[in-house]
Amino acid sequence: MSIQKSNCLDENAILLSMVDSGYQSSHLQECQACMEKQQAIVKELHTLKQLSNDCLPKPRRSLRPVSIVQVNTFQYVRLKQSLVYAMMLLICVGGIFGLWPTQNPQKDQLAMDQATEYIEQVSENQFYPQKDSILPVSFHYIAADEFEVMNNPFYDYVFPVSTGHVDES
Amino acid sequence: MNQISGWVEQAQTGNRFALNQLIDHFQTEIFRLVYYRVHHRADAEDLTQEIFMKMIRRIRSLTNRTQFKPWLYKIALNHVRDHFRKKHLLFFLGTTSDVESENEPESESDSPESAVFRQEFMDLLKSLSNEFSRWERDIFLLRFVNDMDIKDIAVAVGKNESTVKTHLYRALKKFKKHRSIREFLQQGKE
Repeated sequence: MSIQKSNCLDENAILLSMVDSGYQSSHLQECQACMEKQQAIVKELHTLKQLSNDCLPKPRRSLRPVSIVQVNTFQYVRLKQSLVYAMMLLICVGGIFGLWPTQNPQKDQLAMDQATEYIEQVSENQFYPQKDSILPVSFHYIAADEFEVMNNPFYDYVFPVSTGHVDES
Repeated sequence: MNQISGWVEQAQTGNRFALNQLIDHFQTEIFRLVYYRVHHRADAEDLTQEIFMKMIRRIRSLTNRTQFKPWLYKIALNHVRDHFRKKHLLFFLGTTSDVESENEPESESDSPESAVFRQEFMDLLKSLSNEFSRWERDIFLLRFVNDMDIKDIAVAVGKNESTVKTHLYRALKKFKKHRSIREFLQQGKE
């Protein structure tokens, strides 16, 4: 090994030689100055590794996972998948055989007619016992006057509606 | 390495003893990898456990048993990345107060001098890491803290070897320019 070669490696080349062991290896073997430069950085990095080991805190608890349930986990995943597939199958079969309400318009129409009829019955019989009144029978006495307005002669005199219009004067 | 491959093979058949052997063998390495990224012991412990849970779930999918170590490191790196992503999201949504966890004091048996020394080293390493890009940081730490070779790093980070070398070269240049950590390391050596 010669003490120093005339063309020493610059810093970048030395760093490259650390990354790629084949780079300038013959020069490094022969040039002591370059080798020392490289070794200085290597030592620093070695110290970095040592210190990172020394400064690493010890874990306060076990790092093993709490439960190792490999087979059960696998089975659970498969169970979940098969349930999803069963649901999808049920939906498809239901669709094919028209089990879902929206797929049978005749049935839907019939149900709608029945519902309308029922609502009309309820409306007429329960809530509107008389066609002129919007109140139930038991409350007619409260608004009795309202329903006699048209038959009262006083109102006929004030607002003569027999002609079909109210006199402006 | 043959022993590890053997454990992997047994673990793939559901052998618990082999799984435990693998976990015991790699737990310090994985804990170190996680700790020097999150800088918080409790978080590092949780993440390490979760990484091993992932390993257990996925070990059947590993085809090349000799590549177990870089495969495990890949899981670990991705998990740490997910952790930070989640933390940033929670910070963004306002459900957590700070993205970076406060580092708790280490073991009480430490002397004040060693606690100060440790804290100074951690701060310098953080400051160095902050100068790296994401890939430079990952690759530099894998190479010089976790002592992995270039081939394994390439598998772990999912890049080819020449890309890994390029990132490592850039990281080394930044390390060379970081005078404070280099002075600290030179003093620490003495």
